[in-house]
Amino acid sequence: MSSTSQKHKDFVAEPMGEKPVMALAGIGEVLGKRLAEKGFDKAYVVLGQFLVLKKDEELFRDWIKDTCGANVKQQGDCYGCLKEWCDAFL
Amino acid sequence: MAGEERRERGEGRERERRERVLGYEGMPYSFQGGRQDRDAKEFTGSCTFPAHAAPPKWTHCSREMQQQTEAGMPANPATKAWVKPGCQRLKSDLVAHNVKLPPAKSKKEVYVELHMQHIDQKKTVEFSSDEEVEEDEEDDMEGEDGENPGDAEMPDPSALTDDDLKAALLKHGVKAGPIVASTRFLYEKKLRKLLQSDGHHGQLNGAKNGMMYSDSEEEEEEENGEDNDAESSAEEENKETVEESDQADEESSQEPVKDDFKHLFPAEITPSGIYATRRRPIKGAAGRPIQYMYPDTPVSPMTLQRRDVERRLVPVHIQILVFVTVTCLLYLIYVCVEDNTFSPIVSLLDNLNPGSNSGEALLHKTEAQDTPALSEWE
Repeated sequence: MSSTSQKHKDFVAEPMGEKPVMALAGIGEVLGKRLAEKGFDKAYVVLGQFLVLKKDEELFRDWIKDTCGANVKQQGDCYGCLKEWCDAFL
Repeated sequence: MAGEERRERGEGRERERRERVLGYEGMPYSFQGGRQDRDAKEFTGSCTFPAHAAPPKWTHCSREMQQQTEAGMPANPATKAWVKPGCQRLKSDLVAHNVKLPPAKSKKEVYVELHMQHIDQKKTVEFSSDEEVEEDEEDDMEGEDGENPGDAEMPDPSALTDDDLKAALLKHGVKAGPIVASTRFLYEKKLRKLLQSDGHHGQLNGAKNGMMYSDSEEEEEEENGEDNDAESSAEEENKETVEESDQADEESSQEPVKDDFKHLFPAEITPSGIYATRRRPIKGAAGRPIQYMYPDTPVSPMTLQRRDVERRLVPVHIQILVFVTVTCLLYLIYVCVEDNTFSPIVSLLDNLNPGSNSGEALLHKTEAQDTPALSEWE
């Protein structure tokens, strides 16, 4: 994760507000849809899960893999972007 | 009454032992931290002595405490206090001792009964004699495993309540966050993984090792892999040790200090991924006998890396040789250059300067040579 994607930068740049879950780095159309089906329609809901797992990388990766079948890179992107967002805004 | 008193003494000794161990090592290891906290709580709750005064002083005054108890001062209420901690504590206590919990909504009496049955009983045996503590502990584990084999070895995480799950994770050195509907599955999975990895190491799980705060006699060839042998032999000795425990009690009033932390810190990766390396004792210091040979001390990853690097490095004499060779080479080159200073350049210039003058002549010559060829072509 040496370089960050544009999506990551965009997400980390500002408070997430009411952004949809697809605004998260690593969460595209497909994964976003799966997450929304399970009730995680907004990015802040995923953030809630992230926080309730105490920002634990392993647990969060497990969770997102189980929930929407994200691959390792997507897991890492999503984790990194939430982590950085928390560091900046929490 | 006699039994109760013995139990009291056993407890006192247990405390003392744990505190000594904790005091020794300072416990910079986070996976121990959890248990330590819990133990401390347990003690403050169940101890008869003024709870607010006791904990900080225990390291120093546990001996006095023991004497107090032996003098029979508050023996009776103490026992009651021990048996009647809060229901929650009972539960976590039971979990910590790998006792199968009754259904979640059972009454407190059930817990108390289980507690009496498993833990108190265990303590009287376990801490009756220092020489036999280790065997006894292993014994008890064996016994419990026999009673409910599935539970002690592999408690089904999905059957635990949230609190129990949390306690079980804590036992493995994982500080679980809130266990709610959305996180429970993950924690179950984690616990399952931890249990599996423990099984992989072919030994009792980490918490049990953590419980073995004992300074018992070191077995010469004590290794984790040999636990099985020790257990099987210890099983036969169980009955004897229980009977002997009374007289052994008297013997063990002055406890021998042995430096045996090997079984506390087995050289392996703990569930939390922290390397716990045993501190090496200063052999022969403070009048300790040079008695034990430590085979390979487990080394930290940093040391291993350094060793690797050292292995890759060339020995010093070869380095010096190479250095001298390179210096000689450089000197030779320098001398060569010095000898015919500018000679190459001068010769080059010589070549060029007349070249500019006689260039035309040369050209003519070449042309003269070429023209026949060209004319031939044409």
